[in-house]
Amino acid sequence: MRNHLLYVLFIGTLGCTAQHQVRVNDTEDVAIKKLALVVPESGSFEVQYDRLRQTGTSAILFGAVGYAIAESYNDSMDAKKEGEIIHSFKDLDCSRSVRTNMAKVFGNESDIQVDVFLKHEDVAGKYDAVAQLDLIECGFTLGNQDIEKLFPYVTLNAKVVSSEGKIIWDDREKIVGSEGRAFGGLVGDKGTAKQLMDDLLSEAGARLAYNIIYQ
Amino acid sequence: MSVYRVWMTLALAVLGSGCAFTDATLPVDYDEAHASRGPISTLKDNGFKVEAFADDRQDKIRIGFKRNGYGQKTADIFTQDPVEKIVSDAVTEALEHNRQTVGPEGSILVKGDVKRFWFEVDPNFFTVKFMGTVTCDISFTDKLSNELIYQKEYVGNYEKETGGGLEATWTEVMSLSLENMIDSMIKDPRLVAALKANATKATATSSAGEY
Repeated sequence: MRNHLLYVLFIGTLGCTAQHQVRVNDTEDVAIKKLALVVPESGSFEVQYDRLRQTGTSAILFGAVGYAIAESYNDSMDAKKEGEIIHSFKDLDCSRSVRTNMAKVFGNESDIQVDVFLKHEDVAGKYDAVAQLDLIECGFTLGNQDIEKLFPYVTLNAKVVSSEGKIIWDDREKIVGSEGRAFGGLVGDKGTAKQLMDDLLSEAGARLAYNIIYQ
Repeated sequence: MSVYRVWMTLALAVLGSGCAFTDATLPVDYDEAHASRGPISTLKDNGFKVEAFADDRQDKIRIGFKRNGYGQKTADIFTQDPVEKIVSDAVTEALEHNRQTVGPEGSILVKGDVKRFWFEVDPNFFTVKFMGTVTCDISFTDKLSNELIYQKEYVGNYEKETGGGLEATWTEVMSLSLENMIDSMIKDPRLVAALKANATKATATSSAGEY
């Protein structure tokens, strides 16, 4: 009976529970002339093919065990298809690409002096602000449940804090490429898949740098 | 007692998912307070004319479905204003925020086809993920020469995973998806390069015409 009530409460949360989210995006001017950019080696390469199709149906019908079974089934379906693409990206370091692209934009399009660090603890010296970018994951994802194409994407947490401790920017960014390919197209044409990923990482690096340059 | 519990469960189920059966209309809008600047703000103001955008979505009726715990569609979700107006207004506001003039005399025509404006719910065991996608194919054309300067399909996504959410949360997810789409346009280095090249070309053509 307790399980039934749990499911009922779960159903209730789908449409009838109020939730408020605070998205910090304080763009009050802070003059940044010298910036410490911290982009650790983090995140994993993902291909989300079947995962987005999953709903809570199995949880409602079969409880936690059923949900776990359905989830592991979906995961195994994912794993088989994902493996083929992931293998072709085994040498890709998304963090490094974003870091490199950001540094390039700062160098070409701003007067901000940027020093790059892999760890926050390594930041030494006087900086107007420290930008910490933690890459959560990158890879390919379905654009939507209704679309059969996979798009390159990168998800990261970005936080910029001034030397006075003021939070200039704190957000989770998910940047998705505008060009996608069907699963078969990505597996069959690895050159295109890499090009899509490179373009996306270049765009992500530029956007993140612009967020700081034009804050 | 067991009959009482069954009835309690049913009553809670009806109470809990009741509002899932009525349509929702969301006041999705581009919040200028969140508008960001990008390299477009450094360009000389050539003036833009934003034409009425087209609705090129597969489903032109709704922007999503309400779903129950089984994933079944129970009601429609709409926007207060037409999606093509929401997106074109956002593009106009973003250009103006980036120190560009937008008006009927603008020398660069901006056209757009809204491809997707979709809200999706992905229920999991203890949480619900709300996902928004806004996709618009935007073109920039030189009004004088009628040459295409740049064209790209811009995408904006936003996801929020919580214990649940009502219409305010759904509106927030769609508004932030729109904001991210606009951000990708304002901070597109290729668009800026194309606009710069067009300005240079236009200046050269105009100088040549003086002789």
